[in-house]
Amino acid sequence: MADLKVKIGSLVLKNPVMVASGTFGYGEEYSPYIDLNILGAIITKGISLHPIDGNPPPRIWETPSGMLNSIGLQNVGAKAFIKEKLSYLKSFDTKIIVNIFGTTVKEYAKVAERLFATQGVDAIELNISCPNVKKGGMIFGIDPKSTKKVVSAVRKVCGLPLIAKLSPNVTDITEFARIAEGEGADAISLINTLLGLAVDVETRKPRLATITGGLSGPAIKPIALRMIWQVAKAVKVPIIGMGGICSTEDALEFILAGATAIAVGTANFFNPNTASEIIKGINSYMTEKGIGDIKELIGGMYA
Amino acid sequence: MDSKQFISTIKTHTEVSPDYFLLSMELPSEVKRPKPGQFFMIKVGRNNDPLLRRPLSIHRLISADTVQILYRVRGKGTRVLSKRVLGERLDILGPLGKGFEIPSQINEAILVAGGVGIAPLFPLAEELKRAGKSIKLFIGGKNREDILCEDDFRSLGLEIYISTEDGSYGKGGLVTDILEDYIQTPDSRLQTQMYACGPKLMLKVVSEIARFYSLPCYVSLEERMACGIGACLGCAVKTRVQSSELRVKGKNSRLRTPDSRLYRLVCKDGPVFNAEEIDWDG
Repeated sequence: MADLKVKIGSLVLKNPVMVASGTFGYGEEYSPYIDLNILGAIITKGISLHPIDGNPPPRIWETPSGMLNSIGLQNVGAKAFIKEKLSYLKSFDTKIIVNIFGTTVKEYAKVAERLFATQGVDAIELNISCPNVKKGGMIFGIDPKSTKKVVSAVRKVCGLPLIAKLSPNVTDITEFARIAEGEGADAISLINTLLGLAVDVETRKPRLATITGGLSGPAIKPIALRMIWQVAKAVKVPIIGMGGICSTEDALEFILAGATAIAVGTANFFNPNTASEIIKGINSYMTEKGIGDIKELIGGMYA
Repeated sequence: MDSKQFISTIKTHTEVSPDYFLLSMELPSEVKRPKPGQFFMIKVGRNNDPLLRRPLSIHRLISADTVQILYRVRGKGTRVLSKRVLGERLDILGPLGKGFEIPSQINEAILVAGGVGIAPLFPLAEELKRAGKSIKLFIGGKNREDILCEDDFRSLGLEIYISTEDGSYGKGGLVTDILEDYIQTPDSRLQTQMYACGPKLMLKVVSEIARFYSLPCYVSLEERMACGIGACLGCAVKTRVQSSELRVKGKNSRLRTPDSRLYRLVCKDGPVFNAEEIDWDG
């Protein structure tokens, strides 16, 4: 067996394959379809201090090789998450990365503090990139000053490995990656969804109630790859790559472009077994190519 | 957990009326027998286009190992599915969702179907029949071609009332009109349970009728889904019910929807809901 272990800050993953926030619920939804124990890590649905109802329907729309969503960060809130969801997740032999967000810097810090004080959380992913809420989310990820403030505030109160999840809806993503690294982030996740729109030409109405939504799926993969390659050259911290990964080949592309680990997102929706197939696939690829350690592949694109 | 991902072979696939298809496929023995009102998430194509599975309600269990789906071609996904042929294999998740309940105290069931909304009502009618309930079925469509499965229901021996908007079959007008005509007549009521499946506008009117005559009513809803298993939160439906467990007092109202109502998921909390739960204008 090839060595698939990778490190994200102080966090050691048995393999580089995770499931992305917002596409895997709280894990329990997927346990009938995939063995959660095989995963490198589970990144949970975004958690806020208090529960959130989310956006009005319609919330999703399928597009060519992709989908638009505007869920609006619906979640059970930190208290219920810790009590009901985390206790279940802890029973599995995988790492639990909790995605968090808030409407203010203070709220971000409060959630992070709360989770830092909780057993069973292995790392925090800071969501500064959700495009579907008016306050919070992406607002913090498209303004360099806000990014600096929120990463710094969370870093101060949270001793867990800290991952900043960046928005692709910016002109130069390396600027934000550098800021996150500078403020103490242990890793960078990219990319979140790209802001998009679809229109019903019969009714002349937007397909989503919130008009715009986040585009995900295979359609965004080349953009994600490009950004990972750019960020990998700009920072020293590890990158968790995501954006349209559906197969082993997709995952390998991300790793070769510079990602230390990858996350399966939208593919979970249509094939709950994707992550499992990729873990097996990476193993076979490495065996076939005579590669003993996955680290040889990270950033291994010849360019 | 009762749901599985499985592969099923297509046994027959025929167009039973223009744009309406009846798909018979194998139900492997390890898959749980579906309940009336449950659905499957079917990967309709052979590649990632269309990307997402399609939720389709389960029509009939015609033998121990054969299940039928009755669907209408509406868009890209159902169009691609309609091209799949005998012997091909489909990747399916299911059975999913909460099906129809049959309260033990009822002695009459009123079923209301609009177009392809008839699909999940057949197994329900079979179960109601087994439970010894009296069943009235109201079917509506735009024209004669939208009226499906009439003979199948007749063979169960239930009373059937049909309407078409263009008057080409049954009574001219809306199914909700013939429904209300029936409910107004004095010998219906008391221990009656209504069940409805069809377009949202029809369900809304059926719910209003049910409420006016104080009859309990279950509705089976449709919404676009990405996962079908409660993870994507895409198929939200607005309800009138406020759940105290999801309410916290305090300062987070900025993150709430303005009217502070709660969303439920069609895939997991439904697709069958008590009509009183739904905010039809939501």
